[in-house]
Amino acid sequence: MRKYHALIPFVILASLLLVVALFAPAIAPLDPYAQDLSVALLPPDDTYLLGTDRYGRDVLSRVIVGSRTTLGASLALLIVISVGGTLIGAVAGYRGGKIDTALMRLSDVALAFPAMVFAIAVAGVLGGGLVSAAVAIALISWPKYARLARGLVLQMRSMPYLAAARFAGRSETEILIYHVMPNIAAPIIVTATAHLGTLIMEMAGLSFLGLGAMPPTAEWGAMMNNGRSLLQTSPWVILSPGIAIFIAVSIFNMLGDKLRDVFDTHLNE
Amino acid sequence: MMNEPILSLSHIKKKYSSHLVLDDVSIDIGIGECVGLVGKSGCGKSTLMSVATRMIPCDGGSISFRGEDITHASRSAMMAYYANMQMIFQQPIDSFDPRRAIGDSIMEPMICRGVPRAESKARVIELLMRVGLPEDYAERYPHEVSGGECQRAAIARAIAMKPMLLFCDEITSALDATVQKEIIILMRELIHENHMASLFVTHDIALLPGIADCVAVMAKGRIVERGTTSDVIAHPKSDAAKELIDAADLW
Repeated sequence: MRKYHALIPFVILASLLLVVALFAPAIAPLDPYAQDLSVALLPPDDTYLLGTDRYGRDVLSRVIVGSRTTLGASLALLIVISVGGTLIGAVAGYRGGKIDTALMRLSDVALAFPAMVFAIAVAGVLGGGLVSAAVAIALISWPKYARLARGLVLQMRSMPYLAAARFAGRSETEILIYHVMPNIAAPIIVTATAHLGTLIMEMAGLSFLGLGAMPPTAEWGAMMNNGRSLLQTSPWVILSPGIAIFIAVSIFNMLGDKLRDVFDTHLNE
Repeated sequence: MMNEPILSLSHIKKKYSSHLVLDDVSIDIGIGECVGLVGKSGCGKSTLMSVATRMIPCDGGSISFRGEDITHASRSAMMAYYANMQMIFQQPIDSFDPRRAIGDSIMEPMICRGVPRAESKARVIELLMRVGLPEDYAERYPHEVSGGECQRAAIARAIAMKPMLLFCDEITSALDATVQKEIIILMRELIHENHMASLFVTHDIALLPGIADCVAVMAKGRIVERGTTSDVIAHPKSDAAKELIDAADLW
């Protein structure tokens, strides 16, 4: 029970972040895209709580609206990677044989590349933009889920309840959907939650390098890129989105850890 | 006297790597007949059952069910045969999906074969009561019941579609002695009540009198002796049968 209590604050914080991202345009106090050079690079004050950037745009509004871009893109990417990778791994583990060998060698190839370097190369080839960045990260991230799912399925493949499902009249695909997937879901969800923090950093990282979100899109990594030459003179421009990334990544990493504590029966309280 | 076989295993061979696990094994099970298959652990009993149910392929010989050759039947083709052959497993709790209530698992064979949900639910209650479990057990999860109760639920699931052939793989070995006796009595009643044929695999020959019509004794992947249960127990001929009877006496 204590494990569940420890989980609650992080669930609340993560939910708050997601609510902010979902209703960002309504929550943002000012127009995040309105430029006014007469108020450029103002330090935080009563009107501009986190100051303004070089174009006079409200940094707080851009951080709030940027949460939608950064979190939204990372979350969508996470869903695609985790569902796709899990399906590939589950099929490989359950069917075995040549299908397993082929899929796992493919994942070995993906794992052989240094992650961020490969993402930069792919994003470079495909051109800038959030979609290119997402494709680049997806190509190197799916093996994480495929390998986890395959390992879990291999452990349960000889369980009598799968044989019982065959006697009950389930096809192999139905067994995979109704019996295998629900039983491997918990560790996959725990991994995915902790992975969200990493994805946020990777998406923001590519945007920071100019290979993700394009100007004038409000996105945390791109905002840091815009403010990097102002670190000495107007640090709020780069620090605000930086701190937002730090907070979001910390929340999802800790939520992942707490979820693991709850689901992992081998850990003592 | 042997009636028309519902399951016929003929000259079955099975290898794991180069190790021959089943060597020229033949068994016929007649309609409504209960055949006991006994042998020490590792003699190939469970492998024979897996081959007979087509859970694993054999490396030689043939299998026929109700006169139809199923030796090379695909998994999808076997689904039609599974309506008439069911299995009860050695580890009762592991034979239920841990994320599903027991009632849902008992209902699964009926739902998969098109029995309406309401009718299936009513039948689950009927089955639970028949195997001696209260109806609220339908809502319980496998980890919430004892091994014996779970095995009763597994029996309920196995007979849900009134199969013609029941495979029982060491169904009492994970249970304590008192529960073993209860399960054997229940199985005996159900087999006679439903006129089911069955292959009753066990390493404990003492469980077979009163349930098995005849016995096949296995050793080192071969059938070394067969006969009526009373004959084999009273006048064992093979060393394997004698050892099993001695062990049963000691126990």
